[in-house]
Amino acid sequence: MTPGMLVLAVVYGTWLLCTVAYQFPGRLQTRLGFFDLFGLLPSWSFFAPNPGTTDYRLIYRDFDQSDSQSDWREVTIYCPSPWRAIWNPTKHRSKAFSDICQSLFMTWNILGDDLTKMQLTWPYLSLLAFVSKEPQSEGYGRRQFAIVATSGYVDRTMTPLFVSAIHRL
Amino acid sequence: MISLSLDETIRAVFGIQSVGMLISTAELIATGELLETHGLHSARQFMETPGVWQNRFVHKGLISLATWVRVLGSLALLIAAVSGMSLLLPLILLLLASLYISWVKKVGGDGADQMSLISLAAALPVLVLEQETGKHLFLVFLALQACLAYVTAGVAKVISPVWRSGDAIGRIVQTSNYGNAWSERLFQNSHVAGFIVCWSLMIWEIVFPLCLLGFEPLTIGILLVGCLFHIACAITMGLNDFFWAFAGTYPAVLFVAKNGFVASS
Repeated sequence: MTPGMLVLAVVYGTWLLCTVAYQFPGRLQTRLGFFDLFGLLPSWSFFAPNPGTTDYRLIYRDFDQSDSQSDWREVTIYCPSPWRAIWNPTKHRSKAFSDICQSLFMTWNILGDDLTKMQLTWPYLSLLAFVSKEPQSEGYGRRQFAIVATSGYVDRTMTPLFVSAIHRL
Repeated sequence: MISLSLDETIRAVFGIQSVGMLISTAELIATGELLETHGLHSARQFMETPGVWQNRFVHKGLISLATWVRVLGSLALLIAAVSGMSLLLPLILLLLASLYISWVKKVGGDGADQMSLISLAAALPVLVLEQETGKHLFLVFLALQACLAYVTAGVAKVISPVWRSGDAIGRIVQTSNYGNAWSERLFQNSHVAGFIVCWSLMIWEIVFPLCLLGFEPLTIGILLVGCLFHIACAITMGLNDFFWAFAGTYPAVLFVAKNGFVASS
């Protein structure tokens, strides 16, 4: 084996070892993740050990000057199509939404339900910016969003998980 | 045993994976998700400290360019893989675009993206150096990454009470995101079906590395099950790009199963 090939073998071997190490949550995973700018260390634990068994849904309502509230409305995240085995563009949006929600709940746990501090975090700001794009009704100048969990495709149950502060549009 | 040369195997890997990358990037372009100022994929703007140098490299023009380069690079890689032309230039374009998009897109990535990116990055030095030993090493690396992916997934399921009880698959397919009404009904009406599917999946994932032993019927059987599994995930759960990303590693697995871990001189 030439020196170049030896170096290549060492690179591949190190990459594999780092991938193995990255599968275990903890300080090592965090440290490795810090250096992984491009996502070359994969996480292979698909849907396990805690599979996602609920859908997160983004809802919002508007307030007018007299604090009169509109009905809760849902932002469309999921648009299943019969062709999604071949072409599934909405999976990008739903995966991004799911990732942001996971980060939101983790941050919420860390901050101990402090809504004031929560409003400065990136998951909160991302969702606020996203929901603020939705059309507003005449006379309503403030908006509040919430994340609810639903499960059951046919007989749906719903659980509120997070409610934001009220923000001016 | 199906017999492919080193070059044929590498072409097969990228011929299959490039289809998935093409579809995935075309989906992103179709939705415009990456370019929306306040879209979910713009979460990065709330993570970065204003004024940090990286922000100069994050703007709509570059993102749009990168996505189009990725589409064209995927197409070029597919054509090169099928026609016998050099893979190097399409791979470089595709890799650079993919690295940029992966860096910009802080949320929304999945395992298919990761496997494709790993394949591209690992193949680059091999295609530049054009040495047989290097190509063999690359295929061994890719085969081991595939084995690691499946074993990790299997072990993560086996340690989970939800998966061991057989309830996991029924609960996953009752979501709008990863399920549909008919599969929800199937697993609601039959807990046995859910139990069989869960345990079959866990066992298959954990024994996947056995396909490297070189016993042809076992190798072919395990990989066929893999293809069926990913097709089922595409149909039931909408994970269409996983089939291409992971089935794309199977030529590497076949090669290593037949030729071993060490290149013959």
